[in-house]
Amino acid sequence: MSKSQLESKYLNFQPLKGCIGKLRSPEKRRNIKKVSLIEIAPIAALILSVLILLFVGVIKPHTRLNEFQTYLYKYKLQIWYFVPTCSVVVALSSFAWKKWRSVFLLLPVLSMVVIGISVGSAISPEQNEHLWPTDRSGPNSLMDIVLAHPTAKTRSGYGNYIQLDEFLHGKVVKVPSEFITSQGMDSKTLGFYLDSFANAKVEIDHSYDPLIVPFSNMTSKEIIFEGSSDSPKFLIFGNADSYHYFSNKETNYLVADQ
Amino acid sequence: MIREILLASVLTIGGFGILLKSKIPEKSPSLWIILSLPVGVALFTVFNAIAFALNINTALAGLFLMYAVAIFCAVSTYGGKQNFYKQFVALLVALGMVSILLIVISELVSPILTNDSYAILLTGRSIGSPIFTMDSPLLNSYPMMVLNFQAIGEIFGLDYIVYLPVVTGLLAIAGSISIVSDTYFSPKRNARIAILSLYMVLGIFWITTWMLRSQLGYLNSHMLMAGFYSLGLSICISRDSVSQKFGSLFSGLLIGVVALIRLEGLLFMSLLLFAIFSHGYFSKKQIIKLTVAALIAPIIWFGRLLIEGNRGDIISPKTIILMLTLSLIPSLLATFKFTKQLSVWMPQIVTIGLSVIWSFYLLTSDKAVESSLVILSNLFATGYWGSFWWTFGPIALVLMVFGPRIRDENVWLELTAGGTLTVLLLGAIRTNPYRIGWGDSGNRMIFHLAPIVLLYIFAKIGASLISEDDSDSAKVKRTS
Repeated sequence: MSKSQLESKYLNFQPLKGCIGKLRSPEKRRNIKKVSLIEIAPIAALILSVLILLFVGVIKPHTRLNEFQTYLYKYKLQIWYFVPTCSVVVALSSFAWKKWRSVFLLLPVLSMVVIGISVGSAISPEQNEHLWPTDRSGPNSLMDIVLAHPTAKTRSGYGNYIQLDEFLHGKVVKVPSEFITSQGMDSKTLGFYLDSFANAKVEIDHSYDPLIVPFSNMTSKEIIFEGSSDSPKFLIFGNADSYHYFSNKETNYLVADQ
Repeated sequence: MIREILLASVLTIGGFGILLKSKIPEKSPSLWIILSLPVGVALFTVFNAIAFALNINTALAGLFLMYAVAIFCAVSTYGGKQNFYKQFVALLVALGMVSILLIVISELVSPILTNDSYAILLTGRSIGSPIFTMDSPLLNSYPMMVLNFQAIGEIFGLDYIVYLPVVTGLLAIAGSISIVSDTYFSPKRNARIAILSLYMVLGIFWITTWMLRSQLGYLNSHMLMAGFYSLGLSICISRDSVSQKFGSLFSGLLIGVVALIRLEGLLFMSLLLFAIFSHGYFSKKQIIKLTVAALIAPIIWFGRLLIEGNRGDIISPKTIILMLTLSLIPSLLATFKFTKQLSVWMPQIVTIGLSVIWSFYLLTSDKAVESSLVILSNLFATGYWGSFWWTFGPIALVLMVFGPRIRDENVWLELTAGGTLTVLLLGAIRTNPYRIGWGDSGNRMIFHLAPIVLLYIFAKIGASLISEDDSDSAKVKRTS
């Protein structure tokens, strides 16, 4: 047996080389990389920024830190104990994982999530009590939704126009060009309201003055709609396929053309 | 609901057809089914943004164009009867899933319409009317995608659309979970268990947290932004592997659409572009394709708003110019040889830069300090987040500092920390500082970051579980 044959038979280091290669190869952990300066720098910058926030928040006497502390004080027990504990546990588990790998990161993180859920459940009633309850039985039609809105401004503002749908759907409404209503709305936006919420076919009529309300014509016409009085009134006079818009300080009028 | 399902089906079929042209149906059929609706919505929005900006005053334009592209993709990839049958079954599954999600969510949560929602309805439904023109200041105050939903809703006879954007956002999040698990978990069995566990944790928090639950019925664009931002992130990290699922055009489309979801979307799109171009191996052709797909619609849409010169509540011509210029920088840096290395470092540079600017504001402006403290107060107590941030905030932060360094760590860092810093900086530069309560825009914008914070923790856990042997097999699979 030649020397080379003996070496290949008894001194075959190939499997061992393979093992060493396996351990040292940078490809081994394709998802885990070594840390370089350019990767540490952003984290350092972030930590520094947070420290600056804390410093400025505490130092500046005119910031609303006390007010925020009052809000946080409500959940003092949970935040003061859980957040630091969670941070320390995850930090320690990160170090443990670096040494022993396996599930040393997974299990602590998972247990912190479970504790987080149980801590959260203790404050669940007050954190879920809201003006807009996310329930199953709320209104579904746009009209009902707007009428259930908590602010009167929205109820009367958008609500007025949404209610007009019943009377103006598919009908032509002529609005003036370059006019500002008493609520400060330009004629184009007014047109959008009538188009979007009342589903009217809005046209711009350049040939009339919306401030000259035709009261003499209106006396013979029935008032078919009277909007909420929370904002300037909205009145529809007469039933026809097309209307003109008029306005004075107190009231918006839609007057039937016939 | 039937009409909303019909519209959802129309968009899903479009997206399904378009995805035929990608590698996704072949590499991951489940992802194909999940992403059909988000991709359909993305292309529909992109086409309509271009159409409206060019004075084509109907939301049907985007739908027709999307179908033209979908039919082209389907015809050009037709692979015989056998294939057609399989694709048809997959389409039925996609349609069924979207319909069931729509029904379930509408049964669970009633619609929530705030003042912003009515303004969105007003503006969106005015698109297509004879008096609609692009000079409306409302277009500078509300984002394109959700307006587009309301515009097409009117054509389908719907008074408002709430659940379809929500389902789109949810499916985009589901898609990103699938991509992240595929990238960071190995073997596949582990990935499946991990996905199930993540869905369970997410589900529990979603049910018990008002701020998350309310988004299921809220007429606004937060679910869309949360979904597409996390999808954008997953595209960025999936580019860094041999088994790329998304080509340059698809990557560009899904990243670019982020600009149309929120008015500050251009900033978040820029973050995503910096992230994706940090993978320095892009050829010039790929850079051009990705840039065109990402930027064409935002440039045309915001360019048109710029020409009209209106000053909305949120953006003005000046801010549009600034944001558009910023969005061009990532592609330019990636194009030239002498700036290519800089492009690779951009995620780190962006994070450092944003930290420095925020620190500067903190030291010089009371508004910045107040806004930042308000955000903290909202996250921990007053924003109706329950224990969500108490739990995931510290875990994510500690893992960021002490946890295992994962592949594309810089991308994760830029998109999570950089995204948060962007929200904080917006609070520093706006006219009024952020305010206490769930409805504050800063608090609502933090919702956009919630899924990716969870995904970050998920990816770190995944990387920590990969043993050397798994890593080997994964590597072999990737290169074979």
